[in-house]
Amino acid sequence: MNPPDPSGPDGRLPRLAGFADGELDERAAKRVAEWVETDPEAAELLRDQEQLAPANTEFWATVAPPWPDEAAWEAVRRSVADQLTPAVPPPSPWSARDFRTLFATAAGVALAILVGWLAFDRPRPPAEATIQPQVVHSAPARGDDPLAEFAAIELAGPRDVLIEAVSGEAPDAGFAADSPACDSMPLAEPGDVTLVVVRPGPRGERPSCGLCPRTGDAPMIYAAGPRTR
Amino acid sequence: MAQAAVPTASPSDDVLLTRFAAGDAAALDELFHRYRLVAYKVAYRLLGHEADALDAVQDGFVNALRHLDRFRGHSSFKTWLLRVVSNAALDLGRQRRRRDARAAIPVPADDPGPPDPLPPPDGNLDRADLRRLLDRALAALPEAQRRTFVLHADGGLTYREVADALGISIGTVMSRVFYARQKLRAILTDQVFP
Repeated sequence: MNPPDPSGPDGRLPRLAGFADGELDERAAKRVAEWVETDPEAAELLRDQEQLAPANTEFWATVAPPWPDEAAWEAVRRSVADQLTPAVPPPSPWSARDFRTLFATAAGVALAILVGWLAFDRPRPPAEATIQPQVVHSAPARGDDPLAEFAAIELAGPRDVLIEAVSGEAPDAGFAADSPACDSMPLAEPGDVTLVVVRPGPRGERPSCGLCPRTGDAPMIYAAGPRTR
Repeated sequence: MAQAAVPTASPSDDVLLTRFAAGDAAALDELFHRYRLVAYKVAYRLLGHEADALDAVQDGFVNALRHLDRFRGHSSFKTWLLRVVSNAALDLGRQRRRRDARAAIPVPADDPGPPDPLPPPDGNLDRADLRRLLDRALAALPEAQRRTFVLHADGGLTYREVADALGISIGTVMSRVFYARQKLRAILTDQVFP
């Protein structure tokens, strides 16, 4: 169901939710209070909202989820802690002297390789072709800009993109977008998409997909352009 | 002369997060204990399943604390945590639906199927029945509407905090909450709100 036009007669209905939750400012709350006083239908809708509002603690206490026992909580806590705490390395059987000898040997080998590398011409590998967003503007970065070294900054990822409705048929393959960070970034799968409205054409034909991925049409936002020092 | 015990204020989330970043395991335990119930409530309402909800809480805590650089204090830690927990819950729900769809066996046309686990609409329901009705009604809502409603009703977030968590306007939050309640009310009318 599409939300109604806010300027239309039903556009103010959601304010009943705000009123029931005490989320409206004083002026808006006063207007809603006057409205429900004179409109029995609005008053009934408000009662519906109040029944499912958090303020109806009796209802929410009745339908409270089953609480896990302490053993289950402890297992979750331990797992969280294990995943967030770096594992302590086991004590090494090597002595400090062994380490010093190994380090000196490794440093010598590395130095020899470096000297050899600098002493001879070497073929330069071809620059890797990377996908970058189209440059629309370039500006020198400020000296104190800590992000100047990044050519493109991802401001929104797949989880920030919400596909609520599709005007055509939901495609079987889901939705994907191009990203400089990866070739194809999944935004939604068919199970995530709710088909809201399908309007047949004038001759009754079914509409084509209303939202399909197009190359270069990534619904992501990047910095305006590469910055240069 | 005996002195009255002075209650010690519990440390703020910011203090605990700073201590956690410095490797203080006790700070992690306190954050976990402080928010585990609200995180579980949100995850349970989005999944309707206790074990899955605990998995979502676990994933949510780990991801929220592992990616604190993305949080950067723009909202409260609770808002950030519930955003991540609800993401984890929805991801788990999608995985579960795909798994169930793959495991589904075609049912013969004359098979009456399993009995409906819902209670008869006699208005005499116990707590578990009511909860099951609500879970089923919530599952019928579109995902965005359900998430918005749950973050407000079970997460205890204000409209502003829900808007921050989901990156939407307060008007959109209000609209989603209103229509979610209208749909829930319609589904629950006969049995819960006669």
